[in-house]
Amino acid sequence: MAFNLTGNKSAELKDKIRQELALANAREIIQHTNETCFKSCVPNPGQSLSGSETNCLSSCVKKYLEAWNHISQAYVQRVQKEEGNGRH
Amino acid sequence: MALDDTKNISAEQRELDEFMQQQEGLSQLQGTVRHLTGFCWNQCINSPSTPLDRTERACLQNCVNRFYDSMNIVVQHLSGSQ
Repeated sequence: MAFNLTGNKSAELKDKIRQELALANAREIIQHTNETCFKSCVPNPGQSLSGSETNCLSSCVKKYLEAWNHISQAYVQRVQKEEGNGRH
Repeated sequence: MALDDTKNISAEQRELDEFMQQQEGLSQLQGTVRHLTGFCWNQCINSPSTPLDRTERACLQNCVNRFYDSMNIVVQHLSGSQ
């Protein structure tokens, strides 16, 4: 009984931690993406974003996330390969 | 009874510690991927608004792997083993 209660609390705590971690990661990615794309697409910030700046930002965000995804896969693959090599 | 509780709590605690270590590892991995994305983007991407093409994809992949190779060499030298 006492164990079940602790178990539920522990599962709640783990979910909360997972959520917080995912949120923190998402925030960082959003910030990096915005900085990178802003730098490329809005070289001279004006009164408002122009149509071409907006289009550039949309394409850039898409591309940045694609790149992030690709790098994520490549890095995880490499880490797994290295771990495999490490255990002779 | 009290003994049982203590045992359960410590088993629970151990499991939580393990979980936290996993999350810490995940968090580090996510940080590295974020950093590598910025780094390799600058190395490989010329035009930010054209779709990601095959050459850029290959460059990103190489960038990740050569960065890792380079890191291995740096670590080797700093740890003094050749």
